[in-house]
Amino acid sequence: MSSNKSFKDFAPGAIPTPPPSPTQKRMRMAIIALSALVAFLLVVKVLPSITDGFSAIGSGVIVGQVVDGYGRPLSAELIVERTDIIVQTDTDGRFELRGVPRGAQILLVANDGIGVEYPVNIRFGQTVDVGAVQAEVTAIPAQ
Amino acid sequence: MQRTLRRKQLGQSIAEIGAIIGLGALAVMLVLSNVGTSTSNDLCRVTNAMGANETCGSLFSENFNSLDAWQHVRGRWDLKNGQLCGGPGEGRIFTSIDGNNYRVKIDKSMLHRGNGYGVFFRTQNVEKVSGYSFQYDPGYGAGEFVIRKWVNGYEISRPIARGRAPANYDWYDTNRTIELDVNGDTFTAYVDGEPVVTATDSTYPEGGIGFRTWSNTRACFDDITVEAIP
Repeated sequence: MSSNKSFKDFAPGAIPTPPPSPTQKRMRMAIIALSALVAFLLVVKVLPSITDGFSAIGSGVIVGQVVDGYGRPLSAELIVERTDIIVQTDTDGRFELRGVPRGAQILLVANDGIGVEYPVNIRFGQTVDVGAVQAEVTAIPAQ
Repeated sequence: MQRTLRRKQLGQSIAEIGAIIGLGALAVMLVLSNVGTSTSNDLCRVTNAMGANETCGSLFSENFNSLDAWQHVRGRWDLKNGQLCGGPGEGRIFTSIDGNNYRVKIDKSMLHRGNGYGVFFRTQNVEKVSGYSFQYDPGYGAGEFVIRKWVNGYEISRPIARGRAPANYDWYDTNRTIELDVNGDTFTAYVDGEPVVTATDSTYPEGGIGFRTWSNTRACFDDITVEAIP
């Protein structure tokens, strides 16, 4: 018996906490290990969405002009894929898309039910001039 | 006193065993979730192994007694002899699927005339559809099987994949079985059990299915099943 016990430990009716048996010690170790594993798996699960959020921080601008096969200005819709960014050209086919997330993006030049994709690399705070981009001017897509 | 101590130890042990079982189950579910396996499918398989008789992974089936499950977006679609028939003209009809990786099987599909038909998959926002289509397309070049991407109602000009049909392939008035494996960023189309085209794209991770006609196409479909890919 230890001599460091206080009077509270010997209060009438109180049941002293028994020391953990070797089995209980193993069980507690298992609980700690499983808790660590669950915490790790949760981090693995949510990490991609966190890093996606970080990569979306910072944006740039895309400018250009939509033309037909003869180089004449054409009205069209411009879409940045995987974003909600959609604009219409002005009457000269010119466009400006603001707030485009940095990194590799795909610009879609859409007209008459058909879209043409242009890969664009956006850098934070910079304006990318894609120049003249051609739209399909026929309802039959390219073959 | 000794008995009370034992009871207390037993109570603690039961609580610890419960915690271990709970944490173990949670860890298993997280591992399956991280590797992209549906726990409901696994539970279904376990219950079947214990004697139940469930169809595991079935997301949708249709034998066209009605069009109640379908959203008619444009064009002509009607039920004829218990089949869905579409065309002529640009037509689109969709149904939602609660899943991302799945296998679409159309037991009967027949092109009667025209340039071809499409089977949409992983579609979202059907009024301005985004997603993909497999196209059974005798009008493309000398006749090809193609997979296309759709963005906000626009068909992307260049197909993301093309596959040539065998020489003297009979495109018309022949019942074909069409299957689409939609798994991660890889899509493979089969006609009568033979792979005809495979595409890779990661733009759209989930969504429903549908059919498409264009120009003077007339095509009919029946007996569709969609099953989850574990």
